[in-house]
Amino acid sequence: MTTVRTLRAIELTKIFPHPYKKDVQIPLFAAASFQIDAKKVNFLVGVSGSGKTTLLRIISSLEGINAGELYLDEMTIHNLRGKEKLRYLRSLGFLDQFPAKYLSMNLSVFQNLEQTLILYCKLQREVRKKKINELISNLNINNLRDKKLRHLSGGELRRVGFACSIVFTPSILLCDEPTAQLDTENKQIVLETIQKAHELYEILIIVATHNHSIIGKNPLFEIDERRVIRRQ
Amino acid sequence: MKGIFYRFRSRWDLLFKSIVIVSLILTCSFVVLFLPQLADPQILGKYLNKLNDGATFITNTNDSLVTDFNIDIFAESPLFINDFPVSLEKASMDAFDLYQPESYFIVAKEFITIQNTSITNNTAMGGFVFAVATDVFTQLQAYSSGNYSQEGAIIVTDFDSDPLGNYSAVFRENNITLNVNQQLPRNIFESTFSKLYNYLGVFKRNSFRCFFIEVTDFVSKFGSYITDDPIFPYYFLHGYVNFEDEQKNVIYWSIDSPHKIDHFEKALTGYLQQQEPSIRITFYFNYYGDTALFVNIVFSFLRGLQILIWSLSLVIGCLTVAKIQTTRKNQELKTLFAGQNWFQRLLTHFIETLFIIIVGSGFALLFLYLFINLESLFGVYLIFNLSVVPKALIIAGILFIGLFLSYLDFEFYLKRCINSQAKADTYRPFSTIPLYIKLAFPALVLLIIWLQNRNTISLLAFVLFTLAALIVSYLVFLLFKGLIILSGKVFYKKRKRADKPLSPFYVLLKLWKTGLTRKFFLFTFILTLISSSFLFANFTADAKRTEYLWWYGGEIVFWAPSTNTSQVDEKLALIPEIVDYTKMIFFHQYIIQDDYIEFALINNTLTEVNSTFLNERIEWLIGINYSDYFEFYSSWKKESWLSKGEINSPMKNSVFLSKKFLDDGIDIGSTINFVNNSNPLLIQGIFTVWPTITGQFGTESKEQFIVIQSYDVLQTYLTSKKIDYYVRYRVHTAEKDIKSTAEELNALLTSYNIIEMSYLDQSVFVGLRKIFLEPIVIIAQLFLLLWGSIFLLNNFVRTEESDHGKRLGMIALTKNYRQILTRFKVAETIVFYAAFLVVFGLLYILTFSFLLGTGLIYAIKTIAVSKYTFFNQLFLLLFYPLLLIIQNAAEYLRFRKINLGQIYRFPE
Repeated sequence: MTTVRTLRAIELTKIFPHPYKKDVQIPLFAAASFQIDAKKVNFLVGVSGSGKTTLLRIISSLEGINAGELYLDEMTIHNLRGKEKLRYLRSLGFLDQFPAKYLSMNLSVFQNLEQTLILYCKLQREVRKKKINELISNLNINNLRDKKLRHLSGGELRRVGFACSIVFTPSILLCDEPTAQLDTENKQIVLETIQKAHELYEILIIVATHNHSIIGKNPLFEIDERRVIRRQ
Repeated sequence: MKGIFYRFRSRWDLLFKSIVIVSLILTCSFVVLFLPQLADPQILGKYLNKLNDGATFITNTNDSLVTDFNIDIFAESPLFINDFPVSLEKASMDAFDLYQPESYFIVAKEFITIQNTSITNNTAMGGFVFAVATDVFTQLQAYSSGNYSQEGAIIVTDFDSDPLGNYSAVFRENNITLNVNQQLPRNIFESTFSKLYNYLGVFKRNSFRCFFIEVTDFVSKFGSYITDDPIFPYYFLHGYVNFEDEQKNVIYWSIDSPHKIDHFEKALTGYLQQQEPSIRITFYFNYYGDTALFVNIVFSFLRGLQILIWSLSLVIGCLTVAKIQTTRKNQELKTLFAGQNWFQRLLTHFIETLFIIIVGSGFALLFLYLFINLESLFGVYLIFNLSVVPKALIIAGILFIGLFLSYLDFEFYLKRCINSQAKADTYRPFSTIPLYIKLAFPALVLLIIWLQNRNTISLLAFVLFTLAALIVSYLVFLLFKGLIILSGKVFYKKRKRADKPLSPFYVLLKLWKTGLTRKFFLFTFILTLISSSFLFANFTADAKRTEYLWWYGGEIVFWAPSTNTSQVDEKLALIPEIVDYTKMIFFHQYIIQDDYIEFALINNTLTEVNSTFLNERIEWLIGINYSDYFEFYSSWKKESWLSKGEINSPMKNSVFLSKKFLDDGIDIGSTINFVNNSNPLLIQGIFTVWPTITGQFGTESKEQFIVIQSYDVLQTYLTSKKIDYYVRYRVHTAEKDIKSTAEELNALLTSYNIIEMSYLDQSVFVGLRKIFLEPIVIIAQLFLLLWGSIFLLNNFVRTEESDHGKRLGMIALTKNYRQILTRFKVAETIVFYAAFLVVFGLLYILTFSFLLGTGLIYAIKTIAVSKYTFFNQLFLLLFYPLLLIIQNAAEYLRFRKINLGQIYRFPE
């Protein structure tokens, strides 16, 4: 049984310098403390500009903090450098509203998944193939298997992007507005895909969104007044 | 391998575009390897051998031999001259890779004073003894009469009465007996051994009396007098070496000629010293300073063009990789996040670069073959040979390294993105490399150029050439930048005052500013290099041609004795190619009873004076036919000929005086009287520099020249005095007929004692233009290819996906943005063309300053501009704006259909 991953932030502080005024600083987070675990899909909400994307970048160690601590289980992740940082990044999955940036539009769905798996894991060909077919089947994207990405709709692309984000079974999956610009039906499909993946692979998933309607009964963290508050 | 396969498949479109771009730039880089063929020594020699002389002489009174190398030697023994040919051949092969010089001679020379009372001509008691090599002595013997023996001397003399037998003589203050047992008549010696005769011409000043003796015989008989000489116990030897015309081209017109010549001298010295260690040699090389300088200018220019193309190719190649990587930045980040290690990353980039270079090189070689063959359509003949293969490999190798380093640089950028804890700046290739390291690369290039042929002049010329181009382009860039900023500020202030929003035009300018300024600077730099060579080549050719016309006047010039002028006139009428001709008399003295009679102006009368006259004499009296002469030169610009007076209409019985007379108080409007002639001659003008009359410089005030506009006056006087004189003929033909007409004339006039027939070798001017302009033709074509590659680079990604396109999307929000875009592109074309005209104007000033400063022209207005110059400039003035228009039209077509929906589908 996979250990339930937990992300802990202690007195997290993040300050940005004013873009035009040298001595002025803009605090984004002020001693924010919170804990997120992998029991359910976690949602992160906040108004535009509250710092959702920045928090995801902090969690992925692409953004530094001015004070505080950040832990994934027992591992310190707020001051990673060099090889440690790359090792940590390797265990992360990303999904945003523009998966085309990370994917190869000239390749098919299967080929994109295989390409990602080759980059992340050293598996034999047959094992690799089996893993991909399983994932495709689990995420109900069999009908897209051999289609080139440039021929997919926005929603289909989003689902494929999601598949690529988890094919190598990351420790954490960070999703930044994964359902943005999708119609209701596709939004639902994407969410269901995320839920299913969580059930199957028990990944710590954080979804940043400003759309409260997709949250349901999942854990909700809100960025409010420079703090991260668990609402449900 | 599967990973690499997927990588290639996922970016095959980018790789394809990259291969096309790399093919184009490699084609350009390979083609310029052939540029030096346009200026190899044989071509330079063929066209430019007359650069210094200007004229080609058919007949010559100057019968001393013109040699390539003159040699003076001191040695303790002259016996080495028998081995001189072998040493010479070896040195020639070593230095020039030339098998054998055309002719050579070496001799030990001693002066003797003959004491024989049997010599009847007592005015010439001196003679020279020449110790010659055994084989030379044998050749002389073949034409001499007497007792054939290797011992004894052969006499060659002007005096038939010189006997055979023993000659008593003084030799280095010793009394000797010289046994002369063979005689070679002087006329036979002159005709059979003409080169030797002309070489020994310095000894003909007095009467010709020479004794040739075989070197071993000389040493055995007279060696002790030399080695025992208390003052100078050495043999004096003199010699020369001459190469044939094709060989001369290699010696004079190679880029490393000074080095080759130095090598030859050292090699010959070395080989001779192996025979005779005591040898001390002095070489006198027939060195044309202009030649070496000109070769260096030509090769520096070619090298500059090569480096320009190679640099641009390298830059475009690196930008191509930057484009690929920035387009796929997120995929690259993804592979980094996936934990691909450095080795894997490097291997991936290595394979990708290798693939692009190999495939690109393959296409480039194909294009190269087509390009080289198609050049013949433009009259440019290049030969493909395998010697360029190693250089082509080096070029491909350097491009490989450049591309690979670009990949590496992007890797470091990605690392900065990850480590910087914030969004990294937009990628700029090699931005983190310090300036001093970047500057090291041009320094390295210069070092490589210098090391190739150790030619400091060439390197200096190249550096000056490039610096001048950079300075001119930077000045023009600053000028236009200033104008644009000023107009922008005025424009903005006006709008602000009117309380209206900024115009889209102004916004476009701001958006495109960085790219424009970079494009502008590069544009003017390339323009400066190309246009300067155009102007330099054309105006130098025209200036040189003008200079030669000043010196020689008509295209075919010769002197004919006055007694034969009527027959010469008859013969000239027989040649239909002759358009017209004119005659001039140049006269200044004659001899009566050993006294020289000259002329002086005394009390405004030309008076004969003899050697007792102490004041200044007239340097030249020149007689021209008053109407015929000026009609002959009707097309010449005569403004600068006179400092006072006018040549508006020819006037019989008038004169022009040189400026020296003005200094002596004689002015126009007054008259002078000719010797014994009652008709006064009106002073019509004072001349400064008069081509065909004076030299170009230095004759303004130093000499007294009188030009009489009446040929008859001088002719009548000289005829009445029974004075023999020469008449100078100047003959006009069409340019294409000059050489053939001169040769035909020479044949027709053989029996009339014509001397110094020469003609203006037009091939010099053809060559000057050809050697500079053929490379320009090729470079212009290559710029089209490079422009194509830059166009592809700019269209690497879809407009909507590029940063440039996204910025432009803002403009698409305004109505009538196509109209704004059109106006902007038209304005850009106008600004760039205006810059081109400014560059052109500046280069005109530089070119003429150079021509004036080096003395190639006397005044700008004296240059006779040829039709070639006119059409070449027209080509340049039309070619670049055409390129500008095409480029901007293509950009307009690309940007006019901006899909806003697509832009906002792919934000940054």
